[in-house]
Amino acid sequence: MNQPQTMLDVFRPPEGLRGHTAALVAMSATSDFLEAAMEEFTGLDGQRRRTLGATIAYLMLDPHESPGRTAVFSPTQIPSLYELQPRPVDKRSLLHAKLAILGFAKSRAEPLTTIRLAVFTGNFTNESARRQLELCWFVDVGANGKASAADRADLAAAASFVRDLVSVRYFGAARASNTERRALLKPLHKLLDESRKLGPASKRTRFIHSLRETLYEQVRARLARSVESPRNLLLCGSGFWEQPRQKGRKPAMIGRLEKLPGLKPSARRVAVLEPKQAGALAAWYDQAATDGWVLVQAFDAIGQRRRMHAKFIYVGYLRRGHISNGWLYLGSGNLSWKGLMTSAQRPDGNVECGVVLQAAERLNASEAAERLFWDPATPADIELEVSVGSTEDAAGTPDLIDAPPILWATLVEKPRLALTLAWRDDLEGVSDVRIRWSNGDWVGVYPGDADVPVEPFARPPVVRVSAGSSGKEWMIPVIDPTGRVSLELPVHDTFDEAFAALLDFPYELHDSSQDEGDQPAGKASAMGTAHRPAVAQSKEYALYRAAEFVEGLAAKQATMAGTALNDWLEHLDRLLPSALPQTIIDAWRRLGLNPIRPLRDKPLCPATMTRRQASQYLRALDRAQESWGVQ
Amino acid sequence: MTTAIWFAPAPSTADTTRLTLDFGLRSSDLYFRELVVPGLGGVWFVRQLAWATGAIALKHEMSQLGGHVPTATRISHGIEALACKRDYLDGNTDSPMVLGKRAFGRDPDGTIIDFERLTQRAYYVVNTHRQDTSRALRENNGLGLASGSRFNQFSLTGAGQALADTFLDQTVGQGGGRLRRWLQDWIRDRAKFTNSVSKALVPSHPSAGEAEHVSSRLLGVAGSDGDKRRALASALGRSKELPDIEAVVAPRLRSKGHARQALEVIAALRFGAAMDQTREVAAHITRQLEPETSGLPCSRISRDTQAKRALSALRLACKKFVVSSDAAAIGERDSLRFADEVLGATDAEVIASIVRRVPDLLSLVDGSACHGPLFRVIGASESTQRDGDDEQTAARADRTFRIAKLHALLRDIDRARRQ
Repeated sequence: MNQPQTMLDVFRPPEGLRGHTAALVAMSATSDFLEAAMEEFTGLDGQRRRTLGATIAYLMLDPHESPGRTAVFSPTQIPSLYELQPRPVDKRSLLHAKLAILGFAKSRAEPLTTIRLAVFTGNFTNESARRQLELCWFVDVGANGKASAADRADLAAAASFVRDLVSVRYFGAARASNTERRALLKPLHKLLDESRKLGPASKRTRFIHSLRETLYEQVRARLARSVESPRNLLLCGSGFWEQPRQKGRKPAMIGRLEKLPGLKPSARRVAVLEPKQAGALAAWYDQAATDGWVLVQAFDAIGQRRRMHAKFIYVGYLRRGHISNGWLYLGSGNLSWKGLMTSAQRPDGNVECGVVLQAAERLNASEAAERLFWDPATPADIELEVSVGSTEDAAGTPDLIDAPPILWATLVEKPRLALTLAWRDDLEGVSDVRIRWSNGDWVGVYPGDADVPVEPFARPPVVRVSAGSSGKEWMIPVIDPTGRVSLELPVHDTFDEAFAALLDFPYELHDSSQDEGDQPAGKASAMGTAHRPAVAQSKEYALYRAAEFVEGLAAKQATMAGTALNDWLEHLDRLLPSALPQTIIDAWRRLGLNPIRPLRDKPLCPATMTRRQASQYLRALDRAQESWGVQ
Repeated sequence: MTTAIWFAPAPSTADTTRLTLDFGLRSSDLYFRELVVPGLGGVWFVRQLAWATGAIALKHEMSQLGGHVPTATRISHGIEALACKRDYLDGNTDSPMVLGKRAFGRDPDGTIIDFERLTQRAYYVVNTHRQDTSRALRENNGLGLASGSRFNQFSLTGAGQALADTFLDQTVGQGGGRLRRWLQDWIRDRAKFTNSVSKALVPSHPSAGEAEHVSSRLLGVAGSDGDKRRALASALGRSKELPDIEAVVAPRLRSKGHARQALEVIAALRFGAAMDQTREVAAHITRQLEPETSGLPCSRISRDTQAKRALSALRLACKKFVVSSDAAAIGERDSLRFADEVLGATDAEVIASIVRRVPDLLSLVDGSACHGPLFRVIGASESTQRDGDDEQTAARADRTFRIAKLHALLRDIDRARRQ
């Protein structure tokens, strides 16, 4: 991977690899950013991912409601991304940590080869990615265990942190069977387990979090351990600061920052801020007795006047306009009491994370301005007008998002087509829960129910759930009998289109079908359609189609091998059973034709298959044959 | 393996989840585009079609040789990226034909010219010229260069193959090598770049042969679509500036006996004007809503003086559209329904209707307009076009940009013929 330049670049796979599984944690996220990140990560657009039936990314966000968010993302909103349903927590506690653990492999069927840990100061929103000054740290760790012990230790610590979050703050459906858990959450747990296993037995980490201890204590301990000779610069940046308690009084957090180890008593103290979000610093600064602190407006080196949102503490040297030999904290925790001085050990404490790392680089004035938003060569503006503004990291009183009583549904085929429901593990005396899929009626369901029968034609990718008299509704994912999640296969009216889609492999990002001038699905203009009627699809007899099918498929897979073959077999298994229009299947059945059979013969199989691949290939053919009902 | 890195991210530029400001009238929009210039899609210069057909031909030819071959889409993307990058590096940085300027600017020495990387979005753009060609390539309702339903499954027709061959058979390098062979080697990471390859690829220098093929498909085919394009091409002329549609092009069409076509062009123009005014109203709504994260009642938004002015202009535009649509006997339902909605409702109701039509941008909650998931303040001339596509941005208005594209394509053909 080239040197990353943007937040989205962090999601881009290393050369030759593809995004496999991701765990994403943030306070907030928006669909536009997540969709772009998923495209970067997977190399596939949403339309493609919708047909994969694979959960690739797991998202954990803060559970508080906001004007634009009253529920988690629906399972189909950002294809291949599943947002975990949050458990109820103390309303005062905020999940404020921002990190990603990204697993990469040569293909979806191959084991992970690289795992990336990224820590952000910004959320997964375009606001952060485009209009705010942020910082980011990341490291790639080889899954072969050959990375440095420090890198592996950080990854393992972050994975343990995410695992703890999942188990304490999100629903994992404890009542669900192993099969169901495997289908939906197994990739997440596998990613976390592999990351944790890479960690050395004991190693101090750069990665820190506030599940058990405050960030401040951990920053302090690391500085005390690492900084040998006292530095003369304390440079602190934050988008938000603590709220004023007593007018004009020195903010408590400022006092704590001054006491960080590794600093000369005479060290220059600089707070880089957004003047309109200065919190308690505003009133204190007005008193003009600031104990040597200088407040400066964050500097956007590219002149786009982006808003300061990064949070960092830099302890280093300032010499002749250069800063150097520093130690840097960057992370989610604002330089506020709530951000740095609370931990999740308190019911109202925030969940934060960050890294404390050596920043040995010697940065000149413009580099400092670019990377830490402060230009040492520019004199501080003593007339800086600051105001209290708002705070980001205190939750206030918004309600929490309600999780649905049922977390997901699994489609089972035997003894009859039915949905098995995964209920929340904390419900007592729940009543009046109903579900609905496709265009069917609402059906009342109860935690003790076995399976809920589904009409034979129904293969819903999602199920609607409602509970209580409030009429509140949710959409939950459906796991199909092969373990695929919210699979939405395209429907083609003609054999030509359907067969072309089946042969459309491998997938590549730029293969989007959303070309200019294409009609959106199902929305052809009445006049437009009348004006240019679609040319009637040509003729063709069932026999000719069967031959075309066999020849086309055999030719496609003739040269397939290695990684591509693994993906092809998965593609075949997923698409073949329902790839073709029912009319042609019916015609083949009527004529006693079975175009699947010749594909079992060696000359028409993929040329080189391992025993495992051969059995996977035959299984895909079996499933298609059974689904088509041809003998 | 990347070692630990910390950095201050630059603003992200990718815009995959585009804000769609079609107000639920995308079908109508496409209908009017096709009505005015049938079969052209988004094509406005010759090389767009040469790259695309060349890629489909290369895909087919390389597949015969065996081994893994990238999809036609990816090959097309790569050729286009390389072509634009060469043009950019040769100093043609202002050309609207050159996409990817932002990505190229990050590699000023031009070291990244390999197929593998140029086909990644980070090194070019997400939305390519190729995407604008799909409709035009098609046999049905296009220029008849390929058959099939999706780009990756396209098979070239005789005309398409002829265009591809003309493009790919250009001589490059010393010793009479062909571009076809050079591109195959480049895709397989075995080619070295030479200056003669530049000319054979860049968007601004199509060969006369390529231009002839495109011209014959554009203007030389029989049928109503060809007739329409011919009549319009004649009415447009070849002056550097696009002539005024209403004052010059429509009268010319009428004078040459194409009265109905002239009425259709005017109706499309009016539809475009109504869309632009709708966008103007939406821009006012977003400006008022910017600081109001909890929303504003539509009735209050409608009381704003500027919003009132924009609403009046929208009503006038819709009235004109309905009249011109009736005159041309166009019964496009969705657009007329929208116009009726605007003409028969109060200001607050029109605001609410517009809010409902852009759910990504705005949402309607209990009569109040609120921020939608992709909320931002939009400009009245908001463009959702891509990086560097100035031509489309400039020609956004009045649904005449298909005409502008045809004009640009005709001039590109003429330039190539003169060379």
